[in-house]
Amino acid sequence: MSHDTPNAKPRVLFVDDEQRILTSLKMLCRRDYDVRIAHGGEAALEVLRNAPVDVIVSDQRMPGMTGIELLRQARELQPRAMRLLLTGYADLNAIIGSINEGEIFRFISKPWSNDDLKATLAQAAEAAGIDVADEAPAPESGGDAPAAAPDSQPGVLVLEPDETRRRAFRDVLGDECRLFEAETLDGAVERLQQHDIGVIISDVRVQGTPIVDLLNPLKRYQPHLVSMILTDRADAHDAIELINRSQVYRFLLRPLRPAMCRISVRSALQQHAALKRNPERTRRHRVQETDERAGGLGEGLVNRIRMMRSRLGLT
Amino acid sequence: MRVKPILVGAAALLAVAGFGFLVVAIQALEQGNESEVRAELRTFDRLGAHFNEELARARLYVDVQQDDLLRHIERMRELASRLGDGDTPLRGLDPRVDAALDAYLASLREKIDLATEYESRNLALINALELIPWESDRILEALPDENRGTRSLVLALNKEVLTYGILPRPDNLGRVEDLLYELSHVPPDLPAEVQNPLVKLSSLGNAVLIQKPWVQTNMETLLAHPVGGKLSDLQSAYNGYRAERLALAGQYRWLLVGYAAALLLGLGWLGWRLRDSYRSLDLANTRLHEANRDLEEKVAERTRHLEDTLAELKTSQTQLIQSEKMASLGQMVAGVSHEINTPLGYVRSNNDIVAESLDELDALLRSYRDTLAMLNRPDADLDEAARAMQELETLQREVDPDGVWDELRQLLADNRHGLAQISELVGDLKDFSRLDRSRTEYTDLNAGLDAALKICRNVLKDRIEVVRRYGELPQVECAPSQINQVFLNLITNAAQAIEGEGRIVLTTRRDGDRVVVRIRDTGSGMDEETRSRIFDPFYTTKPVGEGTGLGLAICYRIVNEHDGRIVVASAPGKGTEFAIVLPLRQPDERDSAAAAATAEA
Repeated sequence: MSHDTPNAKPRVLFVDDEQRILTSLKMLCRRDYDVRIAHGGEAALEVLRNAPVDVIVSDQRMPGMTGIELLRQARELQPRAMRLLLTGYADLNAIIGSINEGEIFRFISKPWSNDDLKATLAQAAEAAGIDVADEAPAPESGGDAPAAAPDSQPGVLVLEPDETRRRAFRDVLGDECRLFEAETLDGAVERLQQHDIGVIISDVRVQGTPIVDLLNPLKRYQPHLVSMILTDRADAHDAIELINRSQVYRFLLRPLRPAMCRISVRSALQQHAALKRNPERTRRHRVQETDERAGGLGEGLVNRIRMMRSRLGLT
Repeated sequence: MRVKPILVGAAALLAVAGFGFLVVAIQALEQGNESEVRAELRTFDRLGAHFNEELARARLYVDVQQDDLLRHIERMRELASRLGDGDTPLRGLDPRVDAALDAYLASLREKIDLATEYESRNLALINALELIPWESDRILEALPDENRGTRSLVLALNKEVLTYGILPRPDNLGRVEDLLYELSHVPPDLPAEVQNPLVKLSSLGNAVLIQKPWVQTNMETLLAHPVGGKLSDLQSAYNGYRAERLALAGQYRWLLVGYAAALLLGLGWLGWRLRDSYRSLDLANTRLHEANRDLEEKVAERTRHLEDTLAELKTSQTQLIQSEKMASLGQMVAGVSHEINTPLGYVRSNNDIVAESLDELDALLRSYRDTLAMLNRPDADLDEAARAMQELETLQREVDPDGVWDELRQLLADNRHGLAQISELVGDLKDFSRLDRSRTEYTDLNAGLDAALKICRNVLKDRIEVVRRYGELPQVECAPSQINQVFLNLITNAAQAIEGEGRIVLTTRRDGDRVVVRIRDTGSGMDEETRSRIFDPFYTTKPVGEGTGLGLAICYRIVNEHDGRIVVASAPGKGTEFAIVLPLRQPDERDSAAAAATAEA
């Protein structure tokens, strides 16, 4: 499933209903990529049905079919292809959809920076080379029993300062998995150091700190970790950050719906297991590099995360 | 249900009637004409006794006053006559009593008849006895002294007859008969003065002989007459009858006692039942009271709750209207920012590409210059020049200036287009919102429709044909930002009602001192129920989360605040038409109020 010839350029498909965007992108990328363009969702699906593509970059607002709908179908047609959303405006629902249904690699806003776009495309194209043969779309609707031996299964960490909400998680997930709890960012890092944890669940912000500041270094140094968000303070900007900087796996809105929560956690644990089986695949979920000092986390915490990685690296 | 009380009433009436009957019957049986009958019987007894006394006296005393006896007989006759007429309380009581009465009456009549005869005979006897001495004296006076035999005969007769007549001795009758015989054999040569009284004396003596035994015998008969026995029979018959009646009364009494007991029992049972039903009624009543109190409390609580909820609802409605405005604003912003960001995206990208291309062209140009300068140098080395030319050619091939120039032209043309698009959008926004103008002003509604159309261009895209049938409109006094919002809302709704391709027709015309704006779509239309509710707040046909259901409610409010009307006509499958009617001028007195209201909203 790699490129046809070793030297062939990666194939990228741009989808937008504005011809001038497509022209501009084509001019920008034609030197490094085998560029294909489509003026809408249907045309794009036609391309995807006929030839393999490494990266799909789609607009969100298009007549006929939204970008998310296209990416969702693309994920089924060509699961290996990396999915990016490039859009002038997307409301929160669109962004949440792109996380939960599209499982997209990046969310890029128009107007974009050519350099950043090129860098992101390069990352995506590289990750697209990784085989995902066993990564069937997670059967989220399946009510199958969780993995046979819960004790040997990686745990789930709930980072939540509020006792009532932690209790709610206990009620919903207590039987589903090994559940760990933390009230603070420090506590969360401590749990992660002590236990084998596969999934972390948190609100968008914990004690005023955007959780993305914790998830970003975590995802960089411990890329098998899968993150989930459960929040009632959804904000488009936060959601985009969570995609681009922490590859958040699921973004759920309160109120907590037990069935939905259980299915999502099950799926996240499967994702974690898949990443562990094939560490190469973590590159498909590489996060945007950010200046660590610019993050809201202290130097100490980031160092502890870095240390954790080396410790885990030995195992 | 209605028969039961009637039955109960009848039963109660029957019970009372039975009771009354028994009481009256017993009273009749016990009392009857008892006292009258007793008085009557006593009268019989008394009269009988007096009668007998009188009879006895008549026997004992010859000189008794005959009148008394006659009076008594008369009294008895009256009694008999009365009884014969049936004028007595004894009559008709009972057959046996009647029979006894009849027997008594017969006996009484017999005795009266006998007494009457007795009286007359006794009277004759007494007369004879009185006349005998008188006639004897006449004989003795007229009788010559020598006739001693006769004289003594007369005297003896006189004496014997009187004795016989008054108190007869056993030998009296013989002597009297002898003497009378002797007297009849007295020689007939006696003078007439003697002879006549003698004859008289003789007949008187015979009369005494005839009357005295009858009187004597019948006196006994009279005295022993069985009328007394008949009276006793009557009395005992009556007593028997009376005893029977009393026995019957006794039975009735027992019956009454039993009946009364039964009635009492019935009453007791009824009372118990009544008490029972009263108790259950009381219980039910208490429960009802409690339930009522509970209900009142619940109602009060519910009312409080509802009031709170209403207050909350009012607050949240205000908030929702605000948020719907924000939401439609957000929707608009989403559309507009996408519309702006798209040209901005390629303008910026193109700019970078142009800059890059310029760098390349610059390098090529520099290479030209350098090569040219080198060629122009007097000490130019041919090999070096050839190499420079070679490099230049390579670079030129790489950069492809002709292609780049075409590209640059293309990109710059795109950019010009993009920038024009952006300025147009910003202009549209300004036209639409009119935020830079005063709140109420004279506005061209046709222009407002155009502004709204531009704003929602991305909703319409290519699938919906917009037909404008604008009439000549005067300037309308309104708050343009609000009216434009109405237009935008209605056009957006129309577009959303159309699946696939369709048409929206915008018609405007003047109608006197009003203008009419019609927005018609060829969309799905709606049924009567939906049509009647579309202006209700929170009513929406969109999926949950896509619409708050306030858009049309806000339109309605805005048009109302402009003293206008908004009406809708629709049929499923045929599309929908909204018609907005606005006055050309706002009423003066409302001016400030409407402005204040819109400002508040």
